[in-house]
Amino acid sequence: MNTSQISRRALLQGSAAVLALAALAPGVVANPALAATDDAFLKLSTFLTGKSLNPTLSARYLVALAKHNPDLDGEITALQGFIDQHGFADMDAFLAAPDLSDDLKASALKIVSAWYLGVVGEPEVAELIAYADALMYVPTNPYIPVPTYGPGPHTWGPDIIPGVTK
Amino acid sequence: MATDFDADVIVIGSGVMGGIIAARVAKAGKKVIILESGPRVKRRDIVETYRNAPVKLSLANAKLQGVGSPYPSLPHSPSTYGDYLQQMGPVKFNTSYLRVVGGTTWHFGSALWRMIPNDFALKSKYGRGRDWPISYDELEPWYLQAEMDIGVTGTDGQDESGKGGAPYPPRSAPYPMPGLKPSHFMKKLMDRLTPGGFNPVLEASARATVPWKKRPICAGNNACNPVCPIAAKYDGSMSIDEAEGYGAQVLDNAVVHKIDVGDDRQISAIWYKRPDGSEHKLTAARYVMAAYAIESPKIMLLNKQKNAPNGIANSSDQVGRNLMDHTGISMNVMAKEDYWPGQGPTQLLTYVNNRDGDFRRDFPQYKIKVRNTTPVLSTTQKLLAKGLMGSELDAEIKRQSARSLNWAIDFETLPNPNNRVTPHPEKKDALGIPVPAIWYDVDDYWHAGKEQGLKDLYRIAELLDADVVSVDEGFQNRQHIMGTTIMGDDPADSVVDRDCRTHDHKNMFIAGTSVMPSSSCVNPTLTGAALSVRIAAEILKEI
Ligand SMILES: Cc1cc2nc3c(=O)[nH]c(=O)nc-3n(C[C@H](O)[C@H](O)[C@H](O)COP(=O)(O)OP(=O)(O)OC[C@H]3O[C@@H](n4cnc5c(N)ncnc54)[C@H](O)[C@@H]3O)c2cc1C
Repeated sequence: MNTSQISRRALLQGSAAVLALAALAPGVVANPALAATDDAFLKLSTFLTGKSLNPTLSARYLVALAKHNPDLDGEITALQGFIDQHGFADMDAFLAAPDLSDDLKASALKIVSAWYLGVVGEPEVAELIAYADALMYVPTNPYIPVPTYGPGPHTWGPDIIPGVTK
Repeated sequence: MATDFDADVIVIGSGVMGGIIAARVAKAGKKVIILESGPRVKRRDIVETYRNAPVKLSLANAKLQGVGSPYPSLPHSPSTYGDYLQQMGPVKFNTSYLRVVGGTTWHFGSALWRMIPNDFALKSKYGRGRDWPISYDELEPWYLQAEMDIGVTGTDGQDESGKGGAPYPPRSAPYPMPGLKPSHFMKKLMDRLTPGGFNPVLEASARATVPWKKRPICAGNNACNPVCPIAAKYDGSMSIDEAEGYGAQVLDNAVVHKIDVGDDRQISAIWYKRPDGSEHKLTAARYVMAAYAIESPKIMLLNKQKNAPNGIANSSDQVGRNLMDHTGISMNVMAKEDYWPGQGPTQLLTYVNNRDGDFRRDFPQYKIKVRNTTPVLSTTQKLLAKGLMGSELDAEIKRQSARSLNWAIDFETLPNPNNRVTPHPEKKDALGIPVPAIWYDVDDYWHAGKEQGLKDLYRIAELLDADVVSVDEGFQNRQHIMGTTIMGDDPADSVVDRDCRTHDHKNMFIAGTSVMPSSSCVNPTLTGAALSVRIAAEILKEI
C-alpha cells in the first residue's frame, strides 16, 4: 500500500504506524473536530515550502500542529483560500502580496517553521517530527552533513571542495 | 594478594582516568573493583535519544544543554544539566560532566594536548601561580603511554607552541595515529590568516584515523558532542571495557559516600549506596579517587572524622580549593565568502601564538580556536525568528551557514584558594548526599588576557574581511575542571604528592585533572591521563 493513500483518520484507527507515532509523541490525541485532510495539508505545505514533501511526515506534522494550535483548521482554510483567490505562482508571490495580513503570515510561518526545524511547539513542550529530513538541511546538504551519520571516512580534506564532496 | 581485602585496588569513578588505571592494574593480574555512581549506557540508545530530541545540544549552544542532553540524569546520580551545581560566586561555573559508566568523555571534544615545559614552572619562570613538582621531561614518557592507551591522532612536526618554528614540545615517538586531514574550511582560513602572522596548529584528538582496537575510522559525522555515533572517538567506556576484559569488576549505580580512616591514617574502607539507599562496605590495599574534579573533593570534604578532622586528605585545607578552568570569550563573524564550517568532525583549528613567553608575567597564555560545527540549526532558527520564508529563506540558510564563523578563546587561569568546591550546606540529592556548591571568580590576570585576546579576535576579523556579529566576554565555561586536589611537595599547601598519592593517606591516590598545579590553556585530559598511567605503575610497584 502506498503510504500517501492512508488517510490520517485510518491511521488514527489503529495501524502499526499509529503506534509508532504515539510512541514518538506521547500525549498526542486525535482532534476529532479537525476538518483539514492530509491531502489538503500536504497541498498547502507544498506551496508554503516550495518543496516536494513526504506524505507520511506531512500527516504527522498535521497532527502535532493541531495539538499545539486549537484553531489550525481555521488557519489552514484561510491560508488556502487566500492562495487560491490570488492564484500565486509561488511563495515569493504570496509574500509580496500587498493584502497579506499579519495573521496569515504568522500562520504560514508556523507551518514553514515546523517543516524546516522538524519540530512543533515551544521548547518546553516541543515535539520532534523529523531530524535528518528537516527541510533546513536541504540547502546545505550537498556541502555539509546532518550531524549524526555523515558521508564516511576521507570525504573531507583541504582539497575537497564543498559541494562536490561525495 | 587480596586475601585480607575485597580487592587489590578499588577505583572510584569509571571515567577515562579510572578506566586507564583499572585496565592497567587488572591486566597485570590484580583484582580491581570499579565503583560508578551512574548506570551503564548504550551508544545506540544515546544516538537515538539525541536524534529524537526536539532540542539539540552542541558545544555551540551550551545554554540549552539542560533541555537537550541525551544522557540519563538519575536521582541517585544526578547529571550537571539543570540546577544540580549550586553557583555561589560572582562568576558562574556551569560545567557539564556526565555520571554514567565511561564518564564525561562520552561527550568530550576529544582534543588531546600535551602541556609545554614552561607550563610546569610558571612560578619560577614568570612569577605567577605555582610550579609543578615534576617537569615535562619526567612526564613525557607517560604522555606517550597515555596517547597509546587512548588512541591519539596527531599531526607530527608541528610547533605546538604556536611560534611557527621547529617541532615542539619534544616527543620521544610520533603520534600513535596520523593526524586528521584539515577540512577545506581550515585550509581556506589558514590561507587568509598565515600572512597576518597567525600560525595554525591542528589539534591532536581521540578520533581514529586508522582502525584502532575496536574503533572504526572517523566518518565526519560532525556529532562528536554529544555522542560519536560510530565509536570512532575514544570515550572512557572503552577503557572500562578493556578493564572488564582483564577481569576487573564494575559496580554501576554504586555511589561512594563514605571513606573510613584508621588509626594508622590509612584508608580502612569505603562505603557506597545503592539507589535503594542500602549501604555497602568494601576494602582494598589501594584506593584510587577518580570521580572528577568536583565530585572527588566533595566526597572527601564530607568525610570529616577522628583520624581526618578536616576531611579526607585535607590536613592542608586545600581540598576543593584552587578550582580552575579555561574561562573564555567568543566572537561570531559573518564572512564575505563561503567557508562551510561543519565538514568532517567537529575538529578545531587553533592558534596559540601567545602560548609562551615573557608576557606570561603580565597576562595568561591562551588558545584561539574556530569551531568546525555545522551552524545550520542556529542559522535557521534566527532566520525564521525574523520571519523569512520563500526563496529568500533557502538562500540565506545556505549563505549564512557557509559564512558564519565562531571564534573562541580559552585562557589559562591561576590557582586561587578562594575558588572552591564545597558540599552544599542544605541541598541534597536523592540519597541524602549534599550537592556541590561552587564559588568562582576571575582575577586581573585573566582580564589582562581578555584584553589581549580581544585584539587578536578583531585582527582575525579584519584579515578575513568579515563582519563582527557579536562578541561575548561573559566568562564562558570551558568544561575543563582542574586544581581541586592540587599536587605539591609540601604537605602544608598541597593535597597529593608528585606521584598523585595523598600526603595524608599513603594507600590513597587521586587520579585526574584535579591534581594539576597549573592549568595551561590547553585541554587537560591527556595530562590527567598521563598522570593516571603513572599512578597505575606506582601501584603495581607496591602490590
Ligand atoms: C562538553 C565537554 C567537552 C570536553 N572536551 C574536552 C576536550 O576536547 N579535551 C579535553 O582534554 N577535555 C575535554 N573535556 C574534559 C574531559 O571530559 C574531562 O577532563 C574528563 O572526562 C575527566 O575524566 P575523569 O575520568 O576524571 O572524570 P569523568 O569522565 O567525569 O568520570 C568520573 C566518573 O566518576 C563517577 N562518579 C562521580 N561521583 C561518584 C561517586 N560518588 N561514586 C562513584 N562514582 C562517582 C561519575 O559518574 C563519572 O562517571 C570536555 C568536557 C566536556 C563536558
